[in-house]
Amino acid sequence: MIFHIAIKDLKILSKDRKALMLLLLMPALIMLILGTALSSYFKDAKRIEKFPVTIVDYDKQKEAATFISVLKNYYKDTFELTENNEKDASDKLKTNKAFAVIIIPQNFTQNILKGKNVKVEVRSNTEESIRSQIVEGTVEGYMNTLSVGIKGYAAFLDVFKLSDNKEFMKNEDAIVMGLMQNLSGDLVQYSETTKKSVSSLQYYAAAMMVMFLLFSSMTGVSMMIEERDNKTLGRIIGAGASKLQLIAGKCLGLVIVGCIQMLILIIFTRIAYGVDWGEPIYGIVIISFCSIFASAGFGMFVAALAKSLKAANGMGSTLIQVFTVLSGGMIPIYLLPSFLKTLSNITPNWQAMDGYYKLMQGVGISQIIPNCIILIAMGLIFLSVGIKKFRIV
Amino acid sequence: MNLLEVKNVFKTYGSLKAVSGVSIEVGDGEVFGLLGPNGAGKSTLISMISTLVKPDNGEIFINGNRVGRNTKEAKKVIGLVPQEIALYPTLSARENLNFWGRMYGLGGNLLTQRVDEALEVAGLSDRQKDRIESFSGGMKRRINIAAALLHKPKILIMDEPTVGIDPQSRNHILETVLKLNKEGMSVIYTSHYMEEVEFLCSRIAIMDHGKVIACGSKEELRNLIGDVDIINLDIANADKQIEDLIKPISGIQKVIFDNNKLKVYAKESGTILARLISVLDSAKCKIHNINIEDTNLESVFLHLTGRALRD
Ligand SMILES: Nc1ncnc2c1ncn2[C@@H]1O[C@H](COP(=O)(O)OP(=O)(O)O)[C@@H](O)[C@H]1O
Ligand SMILES: [Mg+2]
Repeated sequence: MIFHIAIKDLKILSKDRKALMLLLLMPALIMLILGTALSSYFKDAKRIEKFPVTIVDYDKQKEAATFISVLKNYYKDTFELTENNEKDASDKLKTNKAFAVIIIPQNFTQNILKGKNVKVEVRSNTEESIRSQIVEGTVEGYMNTLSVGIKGYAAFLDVFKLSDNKEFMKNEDAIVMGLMQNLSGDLVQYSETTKKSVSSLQYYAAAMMVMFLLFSSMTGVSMMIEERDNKTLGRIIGAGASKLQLIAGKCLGLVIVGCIQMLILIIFTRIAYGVDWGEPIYGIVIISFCSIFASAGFGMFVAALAKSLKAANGMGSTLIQVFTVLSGGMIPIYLLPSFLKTLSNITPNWQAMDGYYKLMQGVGISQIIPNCIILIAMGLIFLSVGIKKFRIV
Repeated sequence: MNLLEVKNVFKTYGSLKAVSGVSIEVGDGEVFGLLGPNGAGKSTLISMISTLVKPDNGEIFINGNRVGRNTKEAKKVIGLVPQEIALYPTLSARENLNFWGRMYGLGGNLLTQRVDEALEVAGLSDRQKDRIESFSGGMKRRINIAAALLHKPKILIMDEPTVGIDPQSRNHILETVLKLNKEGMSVIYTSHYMEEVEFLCSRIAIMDHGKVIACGSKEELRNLIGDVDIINLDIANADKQIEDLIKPISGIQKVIFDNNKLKVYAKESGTILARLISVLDSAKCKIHNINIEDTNLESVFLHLTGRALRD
């Protein structure tokens, strides 16, 4: 029964030229346009080139030094870092010898340790807006992490002062450094040298594919709501199928469409842009399947909650866009403020993209297991809400 | 036990009582009519019988299976022809029937055979490969019915199966219903066309505002009005007050004036006619046309509700 419902949907889709174009050709076409448009920026279509950034340090104390060393160590593939006084830095900026200037204010260290709000200024070259955004994002991210770190550290310190541990007092600096490095590890997870780095094209290919997958689940939503309006859903139930069988059949149809779509996109981006989707291949298959399942569940969820076709389309595309932005599908995730980063973890997009990145970085199949579990869980939650809330008539 | 028993069933949508305390029984081999104007609650009742909508209250038994408890068994006995054309427009007639057959759990040779038979009943074997969207309204309706016959149900429930079609298709459908009934299938036939129900049905329930206001054989329903004729007059220069002028005439039971049409229910219409005309004359009404008709379901409905069945 489930199988025949799915087959019927595929048959209807295969006769619907517009839907076919939308599902299979459009994503490839948009990637083509996007790829062409972005490739000038992505130089060689590989990665963002290293660019010059200069630092003006008015503080010259411990925290400033830590900050500079983090920038030097962790962003060495991204920034060509120099230190200057403010005048030289401004000249460099004007003559395009630096794309951004980071200014660490006086009393930076003192204010941080007092837990005050500290602002690090970033001046940028207006012609290099994307690169300066990266610098701003990096600085903001560091400062956010730092303030969390300092608060945690203060609490940590209080406890140890109370316990009167002399050994710890001596090593205070080393511990701070270690703590900071751990915390900033989050920020730089995509540029760590031990892993293969992920190029911007790979990043966008994965992000776009996940977005398209969700959008194609909206085709399933339309079909579902149209069928409710045409009363064929009622007829299927009346003929003997249960609601569970009906939704499972619909879902199976969507999963098959999703598989075809992903296959086309992965092969297309591979051939046209040489996008490396990572390894092992069965890892790609697994994460793709989990993403497809989550997205099919998402479709049923939207179909159940929306009252009309129009409402479903509005609700679906809004949610997908929010997910896409949150998950860093529009701008890289490390440019987002930290509270959004937490939110982004609960989007199916991020879980799927994170899985793909891990495979692209070649960190091994076991690393994507959490992503897969979360995606399947999301799919199941979406589906159960869908099954519970969906009205047949 | 009857094939179908509906016991005191209710369904409200918000504050609207779509079905309000309906009880009906349909026996084996009957063609049972459900007659009522649009919005009477016929489709809602049908949806509850065919297990798609859960009643707020009351019980429904189909072939001894209580809906809600033995729903799956109940479903097997029913063939539902929905009011809407519940088919896939881009699939061919045969593809549609194949799909619906699968939904009824058929497969293999049996499916092929049943689909052939259903196409035969619909009279559309020669068009089986064409898409539903290329069919006329009447042809779509015929496939809509054929799809409910594939599993040979004991009881065929048809919700306004002749809405918006040509007379030829309508006749085909009415003949089909009689033929299926002769072969032993029970039928519930829902319509707001009095003539169809009168032509097909052995027993009829008349619905209005969610309630069954009368139920019985054609004879029983006609007797509700008694030995009464209906005098139809087309008149001009009259207003609503004409009703009050006519009502006092002895022997007149009911007067309905609407849009220059006057309907008068009366015993012994022959003797009343002269009196009626003279009253209209003195009220300066012009009479264009007069006819006298026997009672029918239309007049029964009018008698019970004071409104016309249609429009
Ligand atoms: N799903 C629904 N939600 C709200 N109102 C409904 C719904 N279905 C039917 N109704 C209302 O219930 C009443 C009876 O409708 P219906 O059973 O379709 O009448 P009929 O088939 O006799 O024309 C109508 O007023 C209709 O608007
Ligand atoms: Mg109706």
